[in-house]
Amino acid sequence: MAAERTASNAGLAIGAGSRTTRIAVRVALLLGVLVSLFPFYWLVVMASVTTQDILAYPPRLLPGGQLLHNMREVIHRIDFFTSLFNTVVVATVGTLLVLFFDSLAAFAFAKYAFPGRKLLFGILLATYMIPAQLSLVPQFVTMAHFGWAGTLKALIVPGAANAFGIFWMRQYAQNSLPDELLDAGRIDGAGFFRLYWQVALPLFRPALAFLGIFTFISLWNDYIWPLVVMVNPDKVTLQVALANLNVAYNTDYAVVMAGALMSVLPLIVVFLIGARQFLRDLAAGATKM
Amino acid sequence: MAAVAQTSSAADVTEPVRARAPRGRLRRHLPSYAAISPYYLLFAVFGAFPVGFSLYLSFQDWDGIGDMKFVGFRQYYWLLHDSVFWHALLNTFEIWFLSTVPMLLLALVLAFLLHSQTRFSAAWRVAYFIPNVTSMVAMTIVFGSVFAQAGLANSLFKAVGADGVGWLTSALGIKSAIAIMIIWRWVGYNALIFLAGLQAIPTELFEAARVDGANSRQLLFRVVVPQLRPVILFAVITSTINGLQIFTEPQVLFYSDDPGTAGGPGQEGMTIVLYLWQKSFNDLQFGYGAAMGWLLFAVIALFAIINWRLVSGSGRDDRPGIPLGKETGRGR
Amino acid sequence: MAPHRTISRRRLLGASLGGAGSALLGLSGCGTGSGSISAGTDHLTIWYWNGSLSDKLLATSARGVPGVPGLKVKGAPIAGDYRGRLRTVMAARAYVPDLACLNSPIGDYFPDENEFLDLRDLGADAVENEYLAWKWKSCVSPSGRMIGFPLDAGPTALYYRRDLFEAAGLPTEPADVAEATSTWEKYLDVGKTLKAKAPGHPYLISQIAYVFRMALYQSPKQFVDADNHFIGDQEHVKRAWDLAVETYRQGLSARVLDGTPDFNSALGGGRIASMNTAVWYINGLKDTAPKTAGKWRLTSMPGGPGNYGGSYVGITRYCRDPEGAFAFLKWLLGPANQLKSYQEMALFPTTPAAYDQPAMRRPDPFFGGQIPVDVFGPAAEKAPVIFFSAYENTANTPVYQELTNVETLGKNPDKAWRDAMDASRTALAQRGVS
Repeated sequence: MAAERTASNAGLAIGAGSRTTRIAVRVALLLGVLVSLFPFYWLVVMASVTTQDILAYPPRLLPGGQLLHNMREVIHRIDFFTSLFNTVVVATVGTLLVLFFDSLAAFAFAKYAFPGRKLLFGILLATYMIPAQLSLVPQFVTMAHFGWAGTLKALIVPGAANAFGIFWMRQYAQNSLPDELLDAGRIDGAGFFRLYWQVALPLFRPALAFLGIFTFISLWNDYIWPLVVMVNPDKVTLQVALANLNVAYNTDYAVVMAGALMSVLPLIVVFLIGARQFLRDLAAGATKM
Repeated sequence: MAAVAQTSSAADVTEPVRARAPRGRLRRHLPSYAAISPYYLLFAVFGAFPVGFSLYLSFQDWDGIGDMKFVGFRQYYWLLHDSVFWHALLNTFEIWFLSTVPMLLLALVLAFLLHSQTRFSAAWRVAYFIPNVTSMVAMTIVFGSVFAQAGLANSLFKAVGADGVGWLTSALGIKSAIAIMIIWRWVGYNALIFLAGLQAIPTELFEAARVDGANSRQLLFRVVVPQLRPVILFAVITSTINGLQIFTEPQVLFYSDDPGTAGGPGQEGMTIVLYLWQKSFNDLQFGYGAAMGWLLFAVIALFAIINWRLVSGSGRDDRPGIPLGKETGRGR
Repeated sequence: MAPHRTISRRRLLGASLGGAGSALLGLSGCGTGSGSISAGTDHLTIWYWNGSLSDKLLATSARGVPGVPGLKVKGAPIAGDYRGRLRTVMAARAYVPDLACLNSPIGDYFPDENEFLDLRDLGADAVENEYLAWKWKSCVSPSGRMIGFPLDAGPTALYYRRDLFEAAGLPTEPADVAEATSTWEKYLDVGKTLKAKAPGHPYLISQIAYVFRMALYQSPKQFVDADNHFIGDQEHVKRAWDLAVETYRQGLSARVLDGTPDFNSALGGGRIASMNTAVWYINGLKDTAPKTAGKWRLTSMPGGPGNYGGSYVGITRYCRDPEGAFAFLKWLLGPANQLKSYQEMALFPTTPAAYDQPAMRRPDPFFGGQIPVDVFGPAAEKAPVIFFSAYENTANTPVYQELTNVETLGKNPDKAWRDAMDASRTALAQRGVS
């Protein structure tokens, strides 16, 4: 749908310019892409040279042949695969929980009239405005009290349902889940959870894909909370492991860069797989609410 | 909200009247309450309770290890007299301003440029969105070497015969370096949001304006900007919330064995959340950290109210603000 | 739905929950006894930071501590702010290591002394006479609890680039350089010559904080005295400050902060002609600037010897096997293994018996075949015994920050000094010291 509209009013805003304008626009966009992607290229260059080359003048602009060596050093110096595993577990389990709890709550908010719904939804929106960092200390103390500090639970459970996802899924549910379908299900004797599971969930799929990628990326990149709460040095996430590598081995920057590259790659792959769907829904989310 | 009204009446009609007896009614709504309860339970335990507990903590002197000592309002007293705290607050706003204004302008320009492209639109979007997907820790390490005294940025200056810039060794340099990282990460994201807004403007509006003889400038300011207003407001709100929580960039940039280096030279890169983290988890001043959280809460609440007024003032009272995108701010 | 309404709601909720929460958490004040990181494993765990313990000895103890059947101790390296990390894990009461290296000044751990076992209860007194007296004394808190065991000492020296000194027409041999740099003032003069005459106009030092730190460590007094009074505004501190500022004024500092890529690049690229630091930096220097091997020499530090750092090992109250842990300490930090640690890691022994061993006198090709202990040995003997209070880091952090401000931001040194003193006093007052 977005694509059709693009075709119809494309170019209106900046005028249906001449040929030179069109070329200029394309060149500008290409330059922008270069700026946008250059840091990744630079990361590859620095991860594949020796430490002595990194701040050399004139700077070395092409990748070298040290990449595998540097990557082996990363694995030798930090427990890369354990932290990768931890991050994958947190991001995957966390995302699945968010998808389930958020869509379930959104289904109820969108399609059921129950006493207190408006108030509860209002509270939900208000809680969304409060950044978690504000109560960093008491959150840590709470986790310590539960005995969860240093465990993956501390990273997964608190965010297993979130206000943003519920809000977003509810908007989607209102627009894309016809009452007639639910009524038909009710006539067949389906209860709340069967309606959710068999009727609503399949229709939510596009929204789930978006929310899923979004949550996955957020969990993957989360830094301050794992930095604080993952007190067991044997069990940290990739971000914390990378920050540690950066401080502890600051005499060998090429290795640090190789670690950075290794931590960035998996996520880019995940994103590229789901990019089309994600970007379409990102746009939809911003305009159709 | 229209959809809500519709479904509620539909639900009322399908259910027989006698189900409105209190007990039956509760049973009827039980699945709904059960479905929404996880969020509220989690929030009560991991959101509301810590906030309340931090109020208690803020009246204590406690390193988390020994015994708590009640100190009344002393933590708040010291906080108000703590020049680093005020410096951090100022830094945060400066970095926010330095990053947000160019970021939104660039994003707007980029959105217009992208809007004119009908070919490869998906490829453009992916290319511009990728910075937002990558880990900030990794990219801060990359930028840290680019902005080093002998780094790539200064090498470029040197190559054209200009003097190097003290990116990480001057007040403006540090803030600019952090702002550049933020801009790099968020321009594409915001451009795509703006682009979506542009694409949602009905073509008829343009045609009507054209018929009325509007020129390009008038089109821009009379049609495009007013139509984009909610989307722009959304971007401003998002970047404000994110901007007040800047942490990863300055933390990673100046992370060392010595907690005294946090925030860099002159603590010019010290942000509020970084200071809160440093006081709480380097110095283990839990009471102080809790008090800081509360002052910060007051600042953010103030901003939330201002934001709210702005959104309400836009004539869309039925819209509860658009919170999309704040989640990516978690990692900052 | 309006935010301001919800805030008051949350405040209300917070106030009522806060009371309940404190009651709940108050009960958990004492440890559960199961907070050890090694719980459920067959080994004890010791926290350390890179370079603080011998990798080889740790590899041995991970397989089994010699002489202690059935005991294994594994090392867990910790990055970043070590003290903060250790105290955080103690606050979490979970994953606390059985043993932990403790960085200097150890006084910063005294407020949490109850987190550590008193090593005298485990029989430390029996080996006291094997260790340097001043080091041993510093392990004991004012209340008489011995929370740490001597690890290494940090005698200091002037590290200098012989090749650059030679190119500048300066003395080159350790004894002559010591003569030419016997005072800080003479050292700065040497710096001027270096900058003017040596190729590439190298800087004398990497950052002025080192001048301040070393000059201050030549004084037995620091920032806070034994009666918890602030003495950081007195002559011994001001003199060190003035020397550092003078170094900056004369343009002799490369103005690169430790651990930054610029520091590595400057050191490796020959833009820093000397360093004033402790013996344990030898390995750091070798890692950072491997290509400068053979060009460095060591001699006594300007203004006299000092001691910088040197660490401790403590046993935490969460330790699953205190006797085993102490047996491990006696093995790891006994004279024989301190000698090995010196050879491998440049950790200077705190057991004088090691000093006479031939192995201590091995020449080091990185220093052109010089025997490092010829310089560090006398420094260790003559370094003043320093009193560090529990508030040392609190008091000195603002001073180091202001020195950085002077050096990198060009802040007026007089204003920086006043700001540093104000910040020190405020930070101390907040902790009840004046």
